[in-house]
Amino acid sequence: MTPKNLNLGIDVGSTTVKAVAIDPVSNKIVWKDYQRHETKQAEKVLEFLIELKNKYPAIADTNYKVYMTGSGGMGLSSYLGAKFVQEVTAVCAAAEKLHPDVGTVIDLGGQDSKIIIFKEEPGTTRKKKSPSMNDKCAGGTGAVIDKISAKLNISPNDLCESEYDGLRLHHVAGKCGVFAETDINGLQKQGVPTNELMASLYEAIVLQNLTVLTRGHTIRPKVLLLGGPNSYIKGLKQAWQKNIVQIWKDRDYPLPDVKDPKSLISAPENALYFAAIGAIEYGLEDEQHSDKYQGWHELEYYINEGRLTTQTDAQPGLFSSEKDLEDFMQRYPRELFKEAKFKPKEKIQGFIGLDVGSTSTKAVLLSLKKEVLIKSYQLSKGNPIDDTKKVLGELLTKVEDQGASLEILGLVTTGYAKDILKDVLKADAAIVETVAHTESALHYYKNVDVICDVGGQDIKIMLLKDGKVKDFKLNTQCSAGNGYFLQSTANDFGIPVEQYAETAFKAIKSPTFGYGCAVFLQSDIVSFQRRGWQREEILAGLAKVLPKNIWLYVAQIPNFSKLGLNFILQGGTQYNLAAVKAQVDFIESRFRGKEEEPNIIVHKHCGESGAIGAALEAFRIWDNGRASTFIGLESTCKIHYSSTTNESTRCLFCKNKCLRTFIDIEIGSNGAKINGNGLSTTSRRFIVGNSCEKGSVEQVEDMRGIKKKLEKDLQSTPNLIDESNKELFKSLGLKNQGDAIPKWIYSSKVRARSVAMEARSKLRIGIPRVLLMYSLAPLFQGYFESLGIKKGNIIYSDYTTENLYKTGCKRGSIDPCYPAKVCLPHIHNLVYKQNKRSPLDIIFTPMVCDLKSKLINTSGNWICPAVVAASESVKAAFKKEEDIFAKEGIEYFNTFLNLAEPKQFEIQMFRQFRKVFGLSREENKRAVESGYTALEKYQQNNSERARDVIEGLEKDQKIGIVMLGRPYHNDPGINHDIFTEFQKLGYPILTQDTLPTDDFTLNKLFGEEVAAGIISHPMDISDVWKNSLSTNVNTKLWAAKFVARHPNLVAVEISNFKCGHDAPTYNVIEGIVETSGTPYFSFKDIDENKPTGSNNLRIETIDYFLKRYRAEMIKNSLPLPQELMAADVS
Amino acid sequence: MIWVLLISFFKMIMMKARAAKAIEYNSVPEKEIPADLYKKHFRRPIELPFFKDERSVTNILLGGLSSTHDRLIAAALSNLGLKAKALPPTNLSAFELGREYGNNGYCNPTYFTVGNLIGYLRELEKKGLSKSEIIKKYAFLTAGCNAPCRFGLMEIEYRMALKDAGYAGFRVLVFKKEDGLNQPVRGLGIEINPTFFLAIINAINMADILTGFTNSIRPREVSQGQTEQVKEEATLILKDVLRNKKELKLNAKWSKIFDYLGIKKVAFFIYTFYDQLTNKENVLALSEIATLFSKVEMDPFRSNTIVKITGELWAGSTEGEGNFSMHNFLESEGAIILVEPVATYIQFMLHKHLLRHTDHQEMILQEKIGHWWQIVQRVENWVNYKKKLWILKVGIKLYRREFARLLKALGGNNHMIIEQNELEKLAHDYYNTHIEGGEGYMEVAKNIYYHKKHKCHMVLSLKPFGCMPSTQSDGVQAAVVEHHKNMIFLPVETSGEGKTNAHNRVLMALEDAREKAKLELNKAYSSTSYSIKELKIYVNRHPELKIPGYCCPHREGVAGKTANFIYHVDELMTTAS
Repeated sequence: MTPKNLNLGIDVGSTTVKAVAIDPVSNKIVWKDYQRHETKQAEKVLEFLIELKNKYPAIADTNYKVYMTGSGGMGLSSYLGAKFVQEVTAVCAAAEKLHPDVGTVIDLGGQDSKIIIFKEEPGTTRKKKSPSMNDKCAGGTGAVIDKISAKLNISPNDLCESEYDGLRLHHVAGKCGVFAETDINGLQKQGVPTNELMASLYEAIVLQNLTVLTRGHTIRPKVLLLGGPNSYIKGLKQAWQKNIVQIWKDRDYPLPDVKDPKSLISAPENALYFAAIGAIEYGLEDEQHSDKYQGWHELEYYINEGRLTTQTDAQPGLFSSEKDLEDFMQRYPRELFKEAKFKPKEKIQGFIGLDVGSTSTKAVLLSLKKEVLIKSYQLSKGNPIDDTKKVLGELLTKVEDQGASLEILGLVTTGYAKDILKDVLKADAAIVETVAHTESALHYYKNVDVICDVGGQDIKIMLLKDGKVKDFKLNTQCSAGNGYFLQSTANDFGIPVEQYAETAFKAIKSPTFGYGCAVFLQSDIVSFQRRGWQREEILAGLAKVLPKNIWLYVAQIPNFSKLGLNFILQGGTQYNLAAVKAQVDFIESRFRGKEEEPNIIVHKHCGESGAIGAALEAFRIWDNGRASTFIGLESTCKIHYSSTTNESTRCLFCKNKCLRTFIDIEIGSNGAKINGNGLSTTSRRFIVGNSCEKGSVEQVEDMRGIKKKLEKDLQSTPNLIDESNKELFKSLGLKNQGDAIPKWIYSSKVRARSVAMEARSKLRIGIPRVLLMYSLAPLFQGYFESLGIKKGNIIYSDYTTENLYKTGCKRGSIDPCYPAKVCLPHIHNLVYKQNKRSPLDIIFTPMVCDLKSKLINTSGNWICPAVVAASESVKAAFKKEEDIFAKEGIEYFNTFLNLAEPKQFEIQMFRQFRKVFGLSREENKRAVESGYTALEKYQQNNSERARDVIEGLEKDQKIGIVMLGRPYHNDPGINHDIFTEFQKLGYPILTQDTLPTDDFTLNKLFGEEVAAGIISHPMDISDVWKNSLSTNVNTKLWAAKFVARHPNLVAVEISNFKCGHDAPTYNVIEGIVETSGTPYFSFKDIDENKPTGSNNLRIETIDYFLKRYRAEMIKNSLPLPQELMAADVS
Repeated sequence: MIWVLLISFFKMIMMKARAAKAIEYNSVPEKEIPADLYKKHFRRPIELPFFKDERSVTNILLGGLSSTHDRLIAAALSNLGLKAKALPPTNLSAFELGREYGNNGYCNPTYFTVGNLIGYLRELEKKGLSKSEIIKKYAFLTAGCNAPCRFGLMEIEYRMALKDAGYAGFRVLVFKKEDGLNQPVRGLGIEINPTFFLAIINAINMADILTGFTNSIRPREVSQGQTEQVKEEATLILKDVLRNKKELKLNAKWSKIFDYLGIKKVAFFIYTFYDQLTNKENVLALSEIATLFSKVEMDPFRSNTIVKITGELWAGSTEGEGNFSMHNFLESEGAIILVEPVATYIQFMLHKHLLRHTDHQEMILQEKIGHWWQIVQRVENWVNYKKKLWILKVGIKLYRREFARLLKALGGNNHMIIEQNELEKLAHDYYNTHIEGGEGYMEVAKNIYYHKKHKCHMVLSLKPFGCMPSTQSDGVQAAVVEHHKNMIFLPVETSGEGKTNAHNRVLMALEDAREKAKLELNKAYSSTSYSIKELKIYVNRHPELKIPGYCCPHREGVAGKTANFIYHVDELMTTAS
């Protein structure tokens, strides 16, 4: 029967529109629809309304009640006279109505994710709702799945059927879509199969939501999985089920009596329509609502005309006039590359440069005259060996098709997969991309000051002086400003990237994007489309924001005057003339009003500059007389390979137990014999997926050989991070200096003290191995040991690892910097691992507010509040639902301490431990003194060791690296082993806290400035920094000054994402180091995500620079003055 | 007793001021230094001083608080002989400029504030002023602090951004909130003395009270825009009062005597404070404003949902895009907002001094004590401890007294700034009150306070992206919310991006708050024996009930304005009958 009235619920999300019509009489859904709106929200809503009207033509507009919800509903509801209901409210209303036993709703949308936990309120029939939504960041939402599945070419059907259960999981960052993509790229290059990549992505997304959105609550059964991704993707559902059931198990959560707890987590019927249904439910309850459905005429007007008036943030398009366009096209004509023609039977000799990049593989053939003869290009298909075969095969075909033959005199690789391809192809060398790009630019252009290379994934800016690179800037993990984003947006609009510029040039005006994170740009695009911006205008606006992202966001160079005037633009993105125009306009605008104008050139082979650089290197090697080792093009084309990843490939040489991939390469097939590995004698095996060198071989003997060599190499290169870590947490072997237990019990007080004192030796104290413990552990170790706590009873949590983090992070409710965030997993480790091994009595995680510093004239010695208060938020997480510490019989002491005032510290420790230890003031005082002595001894040893290392550097004219980082950057789980990689390359590692402060060293470095009155003391930083409030920042600044004044030291700064203390000093630290001509390098925005590929690129580039820096230093070095030598000896 | 304490207080701060200046001047190299040695290494920019004789030609720009605050502070500084001017409100263009010249790690208030300043200076350039003229004729005055959060570093960030934007040497004059007269503002263009502080504090207090008052009536005004119109008139009146305040001078005869005794400065300080405590100029101005507001007709049956805004001071109080225009958004959704007065922060700073002092009690009392018989030393330590304790306590009391009398003069339902002792007690179990930085324990404490006292239906905590203390405070709030039944708390990180998402999340919590307010209102209606119509008729017959300055008593357990009003009218009607 046709209904007379209809209640219509429309949910306008970021990617889809969902709508239901309910007959108010039968209360049944009579119509529903779910469609992607492809950024045309208003149009899709109109389409739905018309569709419904066609289905029920007899129902008049006045008989409709329309309710809207979703992120796009807020703006559109007024055009229809619909009532807007916030989507969480709507989802709650539907969930409570359709599933009264609901415990949790997990709703994953395109750019939103929500978790709502329902709890019965004692004494009422109501349920208290704890809703939580992601903030502006799209990390952990359906958009990330969309983006990555598109990148991996997974069809919608395959995506829906993708599995999670039983698949191997790899580390993928769930926090940020861009980081996730970076990880997926890296894993893909290692040959990780697509199904494992997607399963790992589901795991990352689930963990991200469980960590941040539950705000520490335990997910309660029954769990409803709502939204498109949760409804359709099998693997995602499995990931939720596995992780949630694991949490229930870990927390002994009482469950209803069911056979399989997984059955409590499911996607219900109409899971896509809950918000739309709920909007009706909630809306109907609101009798006061006066909105009446008024038909779609206003909406139609809005679509056609009205929304244009909302375009208040318009800026001009890429061109101000036709003439401007003509001038530009004349200035930057698109020169088509003409490939060389060969004569039949001609023997071509040349060099191949092979650049295996993140999104594409390029190869060039260079002649003996260093001219590019032919090129080959292949969009990455996932496996670098296949891609290489394709491009090199194409080079060969291009020559042979003309009847000529080819002799390769050398081949050099570059790009992400350069090392494995060097081995596979027996290439002559593998060079780092930054070097390749620089060589290429310098080959074609003589006066170069700045090279800006914008590739698919990476942005590289090389700054040169007198033809030599003096500095470089690379994007870290963030890919904002890269070419891939332009390309994927064009694809989303159905425009091939080759037509990007042509389309964007049509725009007369364009919307203004805020520069920065690519995810935000994505949400801006949605918003602009809603406001009626056309695709050409959006593409123009996006091109205009690209240079801002490159220069301001990634490179952070607002002031161009110091850079020079000659800019070379290269990288595949420069094929897009819209990007070039925007870059040219931006760079020129930075010089406006100045006397000089920049000279901006687009590299004539902008897409292949890396490959050309590699080919030039091949030429250089050949020119130096070295014969090529390259296996040849024909052999390359005959490469067959198979990859194996299973339990048999697992490495058992260390506790990491990496599941490796064996790639067996066979070149041709000649019936060779089978060797011990089960491979033919012509086969070679390459091992990838190993996290350390030990995993690069199969046999124990080989591993031992590698280990021995590695140890020898590491031993010969001091690393004060490792050395101090070994010293930090070990027992000091101090004698018990506590009072004797009272013999005479004359009062209850004495009895209590006596009991406490007797118990001391059995007390077990857990300390999280985090944050300031990386500098203060000896102080507390000394304190406890001298009071008679047995050395084995002071237990530290394990070192930070990915596994430790993942296991313990789920109670988290906030997203601070990683070092602070990792505190929670460490306490989890103490409670659930160390405590289970042998029960702990106390967890001691002090809140150290300030520190004593050796610096003078500082305004303060504070510790960052995020670090100080971390143990308070951890406490809240463990006491929120129930007091876990009490349940486990552990006392949680997060004592507030002022270490800048030793006397106050003594009082504070006494207040905390008086009762529990039965302390007297005197023994507390002795214990504090013991602690300080231990700390001073530890610092003194470090300082002496550092002095020895520096002396060694001076003697051997070598370079040492000083880590400018906070104490917690000594944590290998926080510094991602970056400095061990430098150590492996032969650079001794020092830290800012270990730098020697003896009079001789200080006088040598700062004496002149003290004498001149610039500073009042060598430990004075007032000449460089005013508001010296933060202890660690002050030390960092001083250490930067130290490095700047010492010829054998260079600085590598390390800092975490969201570090509020470090951020204001970035430019200052760089300024201090570089003003003296000392190289400065940095690893900023470090997070839980370990971008190995990006880090390696950086490390290799730094190594390249430092080798040249050292060579220059040796060339210019003068013998040390005799008086200094004498003073040193004395 | 009070006079003894005040004199000690002045002596103490004067000594500190002298010491601080000495350090400041010594640390910046001014003597002859070999130029090549100086330039060989990186040095922080030399800060150009602002001299007294430049007052008439230098425009002191202000910005960072609400526009009412900035305008009133500018007026107060004009009274001190400075050419002060408030910057226009911030917007997204300011944010973009701030980001362009800052680095990725700066916090939101810095981007907006310095971007706004650079934008203003660029406008001056467009009007024909050269960069050197701008640097000579303009300076920016801002508050700084020694706390360990980013606030303490903003001054440096401003300077770096200004330098990169082409205004190297532009003067950023800073007075530090907790340093009292211990101020390193170079040159003597701005004299940091009690007169300066009192001028600023008076302006802040008046702006706080006026803003709070208008926030509470705007959503219930019958004629839209009337409140803002009267607020503008009120602001002009207050500006006049602050600008034209009579200069204080000691009587010539007494001046000579004090000079002879060497206590002229101290005597002048005392006189300044005496004037502050007894002068009724400001009170009268606010009473006059109360009369002005009485012409704004209110509908007391409208807007029942009350949203308390807490979080970081700037993010919570700024009125523009810096917090996604959250004040306007909430009002457009029918909520009444309670924005935290800046006065609470001032009181917090004073209380933190007190807290640090009491925490060090044992240490101060034990100072130089080696043996039990050192009685004299023990007494001296005790006196030292108590003296500072009392000074701080008296200071806090006087500050509260000043705020209270201004508040009373305007009338209405604005409530007094909360006692910090009470907040401290509420928060300590969750968030150690000794932790320094940002708003410290206040975010947690206010959430509990407003919930427990039924002063609002929901607490919205606004903070800049990545705010260090606020983030950890939010971690603690997870437990606070769990332990307090029916509490609605939402933290929102602000930045220039993601406005729609932020509004949506606020709406999510606001729907719940509305539900809570609705239940409360229904209960109020059902508790009265009168119908809505009868209640309205009574109110119309008693127009004084609709005047903004009318003080409706707060009923225990009831947060909503309308609900409280209904209970009150019910009582009035019952009594009358």
